[in-house]
Amino acid sequence: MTTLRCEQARAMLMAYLDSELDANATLSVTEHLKGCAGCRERFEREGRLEQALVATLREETMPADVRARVLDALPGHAPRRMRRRPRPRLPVRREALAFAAAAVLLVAAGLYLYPFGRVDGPPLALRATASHRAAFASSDGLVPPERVDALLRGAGFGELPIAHGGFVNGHMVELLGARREDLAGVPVIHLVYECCDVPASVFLMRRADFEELPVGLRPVLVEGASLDEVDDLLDVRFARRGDLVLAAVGDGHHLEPASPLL
Amino acid sequence: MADRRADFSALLEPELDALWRFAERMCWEGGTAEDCVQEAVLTAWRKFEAFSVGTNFRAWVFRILVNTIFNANNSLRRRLRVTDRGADLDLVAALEREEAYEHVLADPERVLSRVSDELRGAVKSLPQAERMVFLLRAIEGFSYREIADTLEIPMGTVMSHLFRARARLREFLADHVRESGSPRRVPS
Ligand SMILES: [Zn+2]
Ligand SMILES: [Zn+2]
Repeated sequence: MTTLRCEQARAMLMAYLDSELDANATLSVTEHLKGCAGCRERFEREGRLEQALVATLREETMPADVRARVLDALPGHAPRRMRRRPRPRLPVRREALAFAAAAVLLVAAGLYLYPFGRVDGPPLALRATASHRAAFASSDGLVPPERVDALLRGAGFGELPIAHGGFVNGHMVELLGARREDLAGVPVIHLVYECCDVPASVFLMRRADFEELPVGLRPVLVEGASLDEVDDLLDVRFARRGDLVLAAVGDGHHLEPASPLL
Repeated sequence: MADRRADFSALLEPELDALWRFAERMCWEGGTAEDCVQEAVLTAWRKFEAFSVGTNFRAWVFRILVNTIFNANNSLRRRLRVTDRGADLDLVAALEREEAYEHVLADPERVLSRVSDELRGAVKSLPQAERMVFLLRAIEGFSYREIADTLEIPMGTVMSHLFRARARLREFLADHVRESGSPRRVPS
């Protein structure tokens, strides 16, 4: 345990009150408070203020008519006798439009993100997402989840514990299906997932094949490229297992192939 | 199906006030809170097959609501990732020096009882990213880790947004005291 100065203790005030400090830091702060009346008073007062603030803001409840409309909209719910007001859709749910806009943005981002290793066309991650979106709508040639294992064996990937989904790390991930694809001559299995209503792809390929792909065509972002920039548009993670590479491509949305999927 | 529906309702109904509270403060600039909640509840119902009973329904349904809000608000995800840590310390130092803030701390309930409506307005005028983190933590009680996972941002960023939201609300209270004159000191 370290002895804290007042300003160090105060810097941890909120995390302390939120019970978010680790055991050591909590102990250090507690010890400091025992011996420092000034900080003790400050902590108590801040705690009291925060409590009062939260109490004021927590009072709100859902109006009864809204509650009734929300519950009535669920299928199988006996409608209450209350007139339903026509429900305007959320403005940005026009998915086709959003998809088109995303595709344009992605192509633009591709040029910007690959300052080195000039490649023909946008990086595969970006292209994959755009094409995946179209495929997602059509689900052409998608093998259903129960036949994915057979598909993997047939493609020579052997037995792999591919997750069919579930509640993972607070995310609802669901496997919609998979298909064999050919990416610049490299055979891959494209696993199509949906996560929190957002499509996400995982590409499975052999490491040797992966390394054969030109850097800019790999469905991952290259070290040194500006990940932050692309993070706004999509999220790419990858994992390795033996001689296989998994690359996950989401839509500004995370999907960790390392944990749930393999 | 009927059983599943009953399970869903039993889990959902206790959370409706919280979902509403959150949406009402996050969605007021565009779309309506009701549409956000409606959309999120229908999505949750569609996904409910895959929800494993026994895991945290509240976190699950909030995540769906957050994603619904993200869908309606394209720039919010990006804003959540941007923080300027350097500014945090200045905010603290400024507050610590303020006499008006001392008055707030001396009797917070009293100050708050006078400004509860304005305070709600002040929350709604917080920058969206800070507001979202503040509401999830302070009002809904999610841990820093849960918020980081839900919003897909680092813990440090969660803390930074939270810190700023709190500092701004304290600033707001101090401003109020400054404008309305310091309250009479309660004899101790
Ligand atoms: Zn001290
Ligand atoms: Zn998700």
